[in-house]
Amino acid sequence: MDRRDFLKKSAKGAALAAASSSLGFSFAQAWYGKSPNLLGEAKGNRVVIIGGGWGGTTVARQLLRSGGAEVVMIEQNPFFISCPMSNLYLAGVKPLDFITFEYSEAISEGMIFINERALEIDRDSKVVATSAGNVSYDYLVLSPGIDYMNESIEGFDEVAHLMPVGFKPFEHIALRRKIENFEGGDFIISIPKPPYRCPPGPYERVAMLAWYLKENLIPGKITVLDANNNPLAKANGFLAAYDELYGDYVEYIPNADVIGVDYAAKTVKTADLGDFSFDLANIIPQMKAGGIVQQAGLGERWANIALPYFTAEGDDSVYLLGDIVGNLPVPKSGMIANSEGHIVAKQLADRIAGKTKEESAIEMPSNICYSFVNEDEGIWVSADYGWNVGESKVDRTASGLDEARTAANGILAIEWARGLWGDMFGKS
Amino acid sequence: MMERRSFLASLGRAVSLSLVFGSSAPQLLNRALAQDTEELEAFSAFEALPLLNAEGEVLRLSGLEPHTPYIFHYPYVSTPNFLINLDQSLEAVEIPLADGKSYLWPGGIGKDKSIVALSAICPHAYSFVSEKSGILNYAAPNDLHGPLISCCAHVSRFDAAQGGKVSAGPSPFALAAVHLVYDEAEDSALAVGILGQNYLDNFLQAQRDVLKENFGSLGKAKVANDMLNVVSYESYTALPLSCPIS
Repeated sequence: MDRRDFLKKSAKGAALAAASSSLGFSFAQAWYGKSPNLLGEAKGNRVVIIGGGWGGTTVARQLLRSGGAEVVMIEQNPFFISCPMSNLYLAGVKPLDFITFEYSEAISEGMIFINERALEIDRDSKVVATSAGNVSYDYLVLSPGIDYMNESIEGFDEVAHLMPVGFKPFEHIALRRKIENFEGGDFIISIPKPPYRCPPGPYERVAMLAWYLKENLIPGKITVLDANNNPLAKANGFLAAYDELYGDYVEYIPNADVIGVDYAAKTVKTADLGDFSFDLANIIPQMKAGGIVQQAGLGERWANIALPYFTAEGDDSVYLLGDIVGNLPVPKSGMIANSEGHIVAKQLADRIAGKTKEESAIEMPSNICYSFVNEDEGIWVSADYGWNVGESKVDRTASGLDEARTAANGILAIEWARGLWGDMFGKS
Repeated sequence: MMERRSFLASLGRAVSLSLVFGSSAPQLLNRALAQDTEELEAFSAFEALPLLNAEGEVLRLSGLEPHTPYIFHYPYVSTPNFLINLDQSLEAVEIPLADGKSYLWPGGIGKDKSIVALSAICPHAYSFVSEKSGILNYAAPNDLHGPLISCCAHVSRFDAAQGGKVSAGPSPFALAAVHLVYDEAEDSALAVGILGQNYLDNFLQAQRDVLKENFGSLGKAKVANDMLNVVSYESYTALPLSCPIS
């Protein structure tokens, strides 16, 4: 369809279409105060990035460093709050500003930052509609992260605003407030079946909040309702910490799939193990790719890339990375998204320089994931991935695991974060 | 590219001169080096200085224990490097740069050509070996891998026998090397500059909080180190680390 048709069909389109007709032009200009076409037509090198998280910000910084691209980021939040290390904030070990960053370095390097919500993608016309107007693209990088499947838990959607999940930015602040107001009693943390963002994240949260209760002499108990039969990552390290450090503060219950919540009665319902009552509950529902992925016709729950490249299946002008990707056997982690961001930026720079997609080097991401189990000790797991040309699949080419909690691992975890945050938000 | 043999031969003479004549000779030497190294790809010249032992005497390379990592700081007081005797003769290797070009790492030095000097700063996110923590470390070869330098922050691995070439993990390019010139008669070495991608300024910027804490200011962290004391990694860092990957 042509651009005008697209505009007519979009929610905001009626008014925007009026803007392009001579009669309604001045009226719509006054109404919106902005051009419906925010940046003019793309000139061949415009990369529009939806999502300023670990993946999108990395692509932006790397493209700015390599040069040659017009870099535009559409991000609904004014600044970035890191999910990795957020359990230190929830437990009161680190302040909020430790995990909070601005986009100012990227902007000073020339990135156009559109602080709006991306509403729709029209891949035929190569246009993204935002809450402020439209942006045309030559290449689109889609890295919006996850949404929650509230519908997977009966009664949850209606009260979701009262029960912050804390796996997306800003929710951590509300969750922290609830934790600070918790003076004792039953604290339920529920963990969904994979795939979800940050497999060890909920288990780390259990340990850190148990540390918080114990440290502050709060007479509470954390009941972990895990839909899985064992922790999904670093299981021995987490279970040892629960047992050896926190004793009665933590009860870990495997195969406890939460299927309903009654907020008024303060109970959660599991599939096979009955009901559990709570004074405070942190329900972590199942997850899916951010809604715009589905709107753009790129997948239902997750989106597939055209392996071994990171372009969308069937659309070479769209790159997908981070948590939304469904057909890579890698965890949904910040470092994976950062690592993919470096790869995508190189492939995009090659394309803009006139190469075909296939002329770029094939690369796969690598990952190391540190988790804290108290205020200063950590454990870790790592993996490298590579493209198996013969079998056309992604292999895990190396891995590491250290489940013995040490302060040295805690130091490394902080250095891990400093390094990647510096890559995304530091001075070049 | 210049003739390596003539370059090294001229340096060899100059090294002896510098060791014999002390402070005036390095200036002559630096002039000679400036002419000799200007055609080297990816070479950043710094003042030529001899490696010293912990006591400040000229370091005899034969005394370096095999597969034992040592640390010295060059060119700045804040920029650490590994010095390692890999116990095998190491040939020159072509190493890729970030821009697709490459440079020639000249191989090991010492009487067995087994000694290497590689940056102890990771080019991925600029983690480094400090007195507080040995975030990068050396692993001797075993059944699974050759001699490796690993950075535990994000598990980048570098091939110590191939001039610090990336072996696995997220690093975009190789560890920088310290260009060492061997004086056979003295069994000593002179550091003359940095070979490879020069990411020292990026390091100073990325680690400025820690460096300010350690040195007082970035300016003080960037002071040239004029005493290249070589000390063992184990004794230098309070927290030697390892991060085994298989």
